[in-house]
Amino acid sequence: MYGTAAPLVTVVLLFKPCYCVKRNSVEQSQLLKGVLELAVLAVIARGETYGYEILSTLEGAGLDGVGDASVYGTLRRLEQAGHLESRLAASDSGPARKYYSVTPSGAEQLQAGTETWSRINAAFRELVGP
Amino acid sequence: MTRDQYVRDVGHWLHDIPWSTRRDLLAELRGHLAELPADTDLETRLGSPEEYAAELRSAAGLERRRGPVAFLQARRPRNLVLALVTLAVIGLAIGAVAWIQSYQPIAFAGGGLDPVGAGVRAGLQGESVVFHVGRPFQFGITIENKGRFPVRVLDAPLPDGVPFSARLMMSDPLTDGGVHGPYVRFRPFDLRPGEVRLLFYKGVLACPAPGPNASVGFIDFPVRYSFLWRTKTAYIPLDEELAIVSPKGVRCPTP
Repeated sequence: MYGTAAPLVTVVLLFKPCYCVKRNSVEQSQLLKGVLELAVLAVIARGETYGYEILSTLEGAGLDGVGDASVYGTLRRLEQAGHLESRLAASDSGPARKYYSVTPSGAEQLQAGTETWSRINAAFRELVGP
Repeated sequence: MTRDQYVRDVGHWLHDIPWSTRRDLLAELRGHLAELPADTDLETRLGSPEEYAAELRSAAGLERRRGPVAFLQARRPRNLVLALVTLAVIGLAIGAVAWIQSYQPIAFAGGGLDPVGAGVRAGLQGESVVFHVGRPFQFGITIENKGRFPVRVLDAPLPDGVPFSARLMMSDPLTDGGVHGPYVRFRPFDLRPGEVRLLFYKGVLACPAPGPNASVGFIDFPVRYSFLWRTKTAYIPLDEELAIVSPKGVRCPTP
């Protein structure tokens, strides 16, 4: 029974490519939820930036399954936690942009998170590796 | 769906979170939408407003809030202040109207004019006067404004069927505690706070005209007055009741 399931799924995906993309995005976004905070901190740690640019950077890095709302919600949560600070600056494209920068607390959070993620990553590679 | 509509709809789905938080999140969303290419289909990129709001709420750790405190915090402070001011103004207006409706500062000032020949008679409380057609009759009291605002005295409307025929008279303001003239025919006047005047009826005893009320006992003196838009009759209690009694055998024609 399992042997015949794969071709059927393939046929379905051929006719519904959008479903495939969306499903992958959902799966990726579920995986990303745990590290999104870290990824956002990492982007901002490179230099002061704003929401849309953070999203573009994440997408450019291959994290295109992240929802826009998730990024803005994460920014809000990090700022509330004191890991980010922000300022408003005029924008040519419309309303004022909110620029974020990492606070010392955020830098510590990023360092600690990166070390944790490295350990998890190494452990996972150990599990799935050859 | 326009960008403004999208932002409004997201705001609707975040209606329970504190106003300042919602304002910041929506301002950032508005800025984000401005960065997107003009031909971006918002629902394809961001999901429906409901989905966007749910994702934002989840990522930001904003739990759904209920209860009166959450309701108040979710309101714009300016609107809350406006609502409170409006309620206060309405409350004050209702209170002011109720106070004006009940404002009655006229009171008995302690003096009066009794009918000629009035005296205490057995079996009757207060004073009484024997009814004789054509005999002089006068009856009235001093009134004082014990309130803080002037009122306009309009009349002293006695009920129908009283056994005398008289005209209403009044004194000038009385300042020495006494009851004296000069007396003039009544005309409406302003009774100022602390002011005392005498109001009395002067005429003759007479059989009452046919009417529904043939009472001959007086326990109060009616004074009609106006204050702002309201006109009212105050019934000033007499310190002694007055009765007009008919001698035996004297009967007024019945209607």
